[in-house]
Amino acid sequence: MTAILEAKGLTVSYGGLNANDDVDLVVQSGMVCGLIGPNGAGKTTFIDAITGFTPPTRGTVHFNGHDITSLSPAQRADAGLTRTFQSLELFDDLTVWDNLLVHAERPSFTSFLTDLVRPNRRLAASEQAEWALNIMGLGDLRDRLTLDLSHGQRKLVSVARALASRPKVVLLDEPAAGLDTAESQTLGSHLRDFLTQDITVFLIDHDMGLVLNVCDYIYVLDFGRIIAQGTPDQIRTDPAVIGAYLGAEAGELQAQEGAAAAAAAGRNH
Amino acid sequence: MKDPIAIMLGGLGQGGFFALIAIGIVIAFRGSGVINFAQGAIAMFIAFEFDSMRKKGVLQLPWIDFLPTDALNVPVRITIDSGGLGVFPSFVIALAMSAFLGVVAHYLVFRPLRNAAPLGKVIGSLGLMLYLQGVALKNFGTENPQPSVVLPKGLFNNFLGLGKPLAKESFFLAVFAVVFGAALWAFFRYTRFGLATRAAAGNEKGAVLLGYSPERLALANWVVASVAAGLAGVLVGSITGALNPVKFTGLVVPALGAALIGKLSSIPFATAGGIGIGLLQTLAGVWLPTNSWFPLAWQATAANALPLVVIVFVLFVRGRSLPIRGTVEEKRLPLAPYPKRVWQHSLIWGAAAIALAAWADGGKFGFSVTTTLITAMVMLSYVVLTGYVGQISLAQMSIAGCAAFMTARMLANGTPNEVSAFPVSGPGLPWPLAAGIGIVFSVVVGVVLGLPALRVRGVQLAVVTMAAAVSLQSIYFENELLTDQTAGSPAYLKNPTFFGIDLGVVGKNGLNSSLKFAIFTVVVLVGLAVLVANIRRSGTGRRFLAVRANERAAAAAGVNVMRTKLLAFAIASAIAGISGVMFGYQARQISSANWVFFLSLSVLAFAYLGGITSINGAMIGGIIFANGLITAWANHHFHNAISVDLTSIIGGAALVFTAIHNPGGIAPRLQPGFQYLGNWLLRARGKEWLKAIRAVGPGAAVAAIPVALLLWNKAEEWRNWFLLLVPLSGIFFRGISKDLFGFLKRVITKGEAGAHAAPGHGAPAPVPAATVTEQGA
Repeated sequence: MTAILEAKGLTVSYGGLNANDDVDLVVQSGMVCGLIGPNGAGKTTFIDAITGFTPPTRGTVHFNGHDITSLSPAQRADAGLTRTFQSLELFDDLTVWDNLLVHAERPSFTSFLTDLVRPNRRLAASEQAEWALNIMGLGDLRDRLTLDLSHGQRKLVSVARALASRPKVVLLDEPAAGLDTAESQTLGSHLRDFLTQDITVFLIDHDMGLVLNVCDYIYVLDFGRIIAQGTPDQIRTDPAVIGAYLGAEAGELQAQEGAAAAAAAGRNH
Repeated sequence: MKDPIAIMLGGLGQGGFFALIAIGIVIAFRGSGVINFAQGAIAMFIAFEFDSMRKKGVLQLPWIDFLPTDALNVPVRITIDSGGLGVFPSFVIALAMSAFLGVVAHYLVFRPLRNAAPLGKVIGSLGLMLYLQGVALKNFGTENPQPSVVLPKGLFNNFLGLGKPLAKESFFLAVFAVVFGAALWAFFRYTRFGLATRAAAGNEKGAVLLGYSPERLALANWVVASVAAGLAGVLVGSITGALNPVKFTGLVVPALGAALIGKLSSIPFATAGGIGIGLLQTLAGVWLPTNSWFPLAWQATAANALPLVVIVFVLFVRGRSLPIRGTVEEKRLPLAPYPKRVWQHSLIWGAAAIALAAWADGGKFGFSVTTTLITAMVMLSYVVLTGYVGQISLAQMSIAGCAAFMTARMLANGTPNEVSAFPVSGPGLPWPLAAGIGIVFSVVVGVVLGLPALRVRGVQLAVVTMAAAVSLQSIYFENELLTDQTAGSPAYLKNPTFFGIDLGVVGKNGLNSSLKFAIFTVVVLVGLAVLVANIRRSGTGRRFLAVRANERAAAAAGVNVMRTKLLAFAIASAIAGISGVMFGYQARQISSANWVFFLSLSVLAFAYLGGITSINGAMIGGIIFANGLITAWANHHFHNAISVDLTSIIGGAALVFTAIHNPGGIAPRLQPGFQYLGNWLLRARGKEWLKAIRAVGPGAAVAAIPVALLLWNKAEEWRNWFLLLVPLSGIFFRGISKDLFGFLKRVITKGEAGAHAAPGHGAPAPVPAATVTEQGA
């Protein structure tokens, strides 16, 4: 196992306020890594900084052995670091399949010339997009406009889209928000499947049940700082986390419920 | 050092005028979130109004006699005193008229558009502008009068001891602008109304919760803005020279620059910006040429390109390469349909167009056939740029013009020709090479124009491109140094040939209508349409639409947003360039008078009307554009009563209507009908006809009446205007009926609520609407 994504001393300030303060974080390849924290802890700012949407005030981001701090969001996506958005941000003028293809295709500088004459040629990218479509169970919705889908389906499309380019690491920003417990556990079981395709998962979520059950390693963020890290068992019992975030009993309860639901989902399969 | 300052101060008057217009733009923007491109047009209209009242005592109403009969007329003017009115009554009436225009603009245009996409709002204000311009051309005539002067005449000799005279008029206009700006600033700063407006601009919902009506605030602000424009129009007097509807309306461009300096929200900065631009323009346009090192040919360029420099600089510095998180999501453009059966369509429609051209060959419709086809090409460039990538450009015709002028110059060889006594010098290249150079040149210009789009979005980009179009006109088209056209005389384009066959436009009877040229045009148009369809169907089109839908998400998908936008500008410019070359060959000559920047506005307007996101929309746009098939047809039936002004007026009104009721344009409305028709043709199944009729519905049924009438009878005058009204009502049918039903429904439900509340009523039985309203009242 090697470190595939690494943030060192990452600090993002908005006018004097440090939304991320000296964050050190390592994601090992081939694992599901989680980041949790209460509202306003700076989770989305962290993802924005990693993916190049917000310039960090200080610190560096290394990906796959290279310093990517100065790359544009598109270049990072090209390098194999993709993300989803909390607010989904689907391309609502396109079908589900086209949404996936936008991610999957890697056009060259002159590919528009080929497009002008042969628009419907078979693309190498479509195989991976096909896989992403099927693993999220979206095969039936392939030619629907994303605009016409339900919220849950749109969530799945946003995850499938991030997978369609066969990234090395996918950053999921609250994929379970707005899903019910069973749906989020189904999603959780999908997350483990990604690993078989050599896609490392970095998961941000509120849903403690999902995070504690799915992740191999967890970071806890509060007021822009990492206050704890470790395996789910360590996090469950970490006094700083319990004090700052979980509340003594609620988190445990939620985790147990989640585990029960996961077991139920497993039996049904 | 004294000299440049003294000369620069000569621009005070112009600066004051820009400042007044800019103040109006800021107020309208704060009140309703619309960048009003029509602000200059309102000032223009009021300037004409004031002039007409002073000299003839005639009040012109802001509409035209649209009934093409002599028997029945719509009143368009009120004669108050045929000897001319005094300054004061004229002034009051002119300002009342501008207030009235503000009210009308609010209720008929911008209030219905308050929830529209930014493009819809731009289109609304362009529609208003085209409408006012057309009405002015129609009602005030084309004589360009010297305006009446209100402010004190005469000169300050040796102004400020700088040794140069200054017109009192100039000085007082600038002073008035500053005082007016300060008064409005204080008014908005210290009154409850101003506070409420600022609150509503910041958060409309919050203002509603506090008990303010954003609509009433918007109305009041529109009136103030419109009166500011009216003041500018009346007070500017002789400063901007003779009154010319087109030129005057275009003065909105520097004013837009000034408003942008004030971030569209600060009256003091907009005022200062306006005066500053006026001064700088004079410095660049008058003082620079007094230096021996300055080439005289660039005189107009220096002054006219300045607003562009200011606008681009201000916006580029403030812009961002990607929108920030949580940027309010803008309303979407209509869906861009996926073209199906491209080859079948291009064969069928190409054949139909050639058949039409063959029918029209050598007749008076021949020219309108090719005009339609070539206009459809420019509109295809809008489909790519605005329809697919969502970038609003008000410069596509100027880009087409670049190709046309460059091709003409490359073709020219300095020999005498049939269109001009002053032959243009040039390398005399063969036509494919010359056209190629022209098109490549327009691509380069288009890409440079696209650079601001990397950091500037939406309506602000429209402002940039409009300024660029104005600049291109004076930098290139009117610049004899580059075009080598002496005193505005045209450059001649030699006919293109194809393996020895003359493809020129001159046909039988010496008319500009030859079948060979028409076929050439059809082939080019079909080729371009197929290319655009292929873009939409391929990865390039997916990335275009992804950028249009959401730039942040597109970047996250690995799409290089900047490169994608520039690619769109390049492709659209290439298409526009090709159309420019075709326009050149159609006219056989190029002169700057035919390439004014306003053309781009009408082309965008009609592209939107046709349906800006689809290829069909571009075709429909070409058909309805000025001098296209529809105007030719109407002129044929109304004995040439339909002038270009009239198409501008009708187009402007139709545009506002489309932006409000039918943002997708005409094409999506006709789509189902054509689809069933196509299916029926391909499968030859009779019962599909029924479906087709059902799909097109009442609108087509109404539109079928004029066709029947046309077959039935040809010329009677009263039938002719009936013919005009019926298709119009057919187009407007849906929107009007929707409004009517909505209104009746409101009346009825209100009445019922009243009836329920009234005591002593038992269970109310269903009552006719009239009774219910009576009881409710």
